[in-house]
Amino acid sequence: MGDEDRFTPEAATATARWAGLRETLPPERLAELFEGVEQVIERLYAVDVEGFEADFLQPDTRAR
Amino acid sequence: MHAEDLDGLTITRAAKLIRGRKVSAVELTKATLERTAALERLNAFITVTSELALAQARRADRDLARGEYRGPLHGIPVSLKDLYWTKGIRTTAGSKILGDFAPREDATATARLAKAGAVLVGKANLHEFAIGATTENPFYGTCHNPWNFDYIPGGSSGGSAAAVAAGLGLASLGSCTGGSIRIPASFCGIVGLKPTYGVVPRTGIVPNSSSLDHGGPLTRTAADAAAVLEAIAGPDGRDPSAVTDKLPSARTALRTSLKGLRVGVPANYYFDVIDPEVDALVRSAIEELRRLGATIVPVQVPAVEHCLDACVVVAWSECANFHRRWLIERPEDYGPDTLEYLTGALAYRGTDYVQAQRVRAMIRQSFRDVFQRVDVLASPTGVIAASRIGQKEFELGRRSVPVLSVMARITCIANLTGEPAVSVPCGFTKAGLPVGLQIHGPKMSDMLVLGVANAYEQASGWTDRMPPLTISA
Repeated sequence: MGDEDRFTPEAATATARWAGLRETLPPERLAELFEGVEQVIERLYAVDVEGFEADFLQPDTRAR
Repeated sequence: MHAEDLDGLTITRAAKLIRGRKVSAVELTKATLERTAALERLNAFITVTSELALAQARRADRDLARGEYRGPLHGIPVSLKDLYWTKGIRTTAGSKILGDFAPREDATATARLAKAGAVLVGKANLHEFAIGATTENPFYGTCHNPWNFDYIPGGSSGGSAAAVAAGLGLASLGSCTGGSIRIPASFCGIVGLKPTYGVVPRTGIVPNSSSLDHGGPLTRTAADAAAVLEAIAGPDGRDPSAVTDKLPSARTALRTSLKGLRVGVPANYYFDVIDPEVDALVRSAIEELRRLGATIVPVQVPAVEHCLDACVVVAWSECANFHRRWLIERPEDYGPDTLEYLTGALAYRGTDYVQAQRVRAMIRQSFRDVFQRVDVLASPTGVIAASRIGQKEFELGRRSVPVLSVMARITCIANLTGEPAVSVPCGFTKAGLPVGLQIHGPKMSDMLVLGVANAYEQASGWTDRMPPLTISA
């Protein structure tokens, strides 16, 4: 992630408000938290999941 | 019977004493309550249920006098992580938000333990809402590790593990989303089983993450865990994720022979980032499995390196869904670390959750393939032993690693796949802290993984050790 893509405190505050949260954490800390979230998400999108679907309609109620 | 007589006692041994009328359930319960009071400084319990315990014990003795023996849990003192609903008894989930919550009914597992004759002595301390692994609880105090009070017991079922290790009851039910039964079992030197997903109904367990949550036992031995699992397993008609297949009997676990059993040892990921002392103890335990007749098979486990990330997104998304209203309306009532975790979790999008579930589907396929080649996997439970209270980072090699991210590195895998995994003690560090060996098997192999753990503990004898506690009134 380049510097220009990093979460700014302002963006973090806006994201928190969008999620419905009150201002309970300092904007700088919010930015750190959301940046950590972004890093996890970026790693997951780098995984090739072609051919795999979330099987929500196949509850795994029997041993398979 | 006195508090100090409980040293090293197991369900198996206590059941013989009770059935043979050598000890009454009331005597055993009084001794347990006496020991609980003497070790209050451990902070293992949020609520001690003395009156209920003595009433249940008296009933167990009356039933036995009438010839009604309900099985191996008859008259056995147990505890519950304080997120199992208990009718009329507060169930805090370790939180301020549920500080006055007294459920109208028992959780399914709570009711099943009572039906099996068990005696509830207390509601165990935990990490707030089971969101975290240290059991440094901002509202009910930090729970200590019985082996060294300066260290955490692990979590989130830390009070359960500390209680069992210290002899404050012979079993406890914990819950596990990413390792919350096996991590504290490993750190406290006892056995902890995360069963197959859905084997133990989640009805009446305050949720963390619905597709990753499991209820399961913490005990001194694998045989005891099998006895408790047998009592609480099976569909209840209320938890839609409950499995309909039936487990083999607990006796099956005790008959497991390791001769010819294919024990896989992961060649990637599991041992990549690990404390050298833990590494040596686990590898020594695997050698013991070989001496007992197992065939050790090195295996590559594709995609396993994505488990922690997938678990984080699935767990936090589902957890934040449950907490959203409280987060918006009363954020000040959360502890600082829980508030930070949940705040971060609200930033995951639906698309991210679906991606994590697709990665999870890939990982599940990977493990189904692995279990075509081996019967079980043996590995460390955790890559570190217990950390100090307040410690945030752990030195591994030349790297400083955040304690929380490293604790669930291995345990979260079986939560994602829904497969059973047990932690059994496999030795102690030079500092005297316990280390756990994890045995992980395919779905519905719960009694097999317990059987392997039982065979190992019989040969190794680690479970006979008790923490160096002074029982003083």
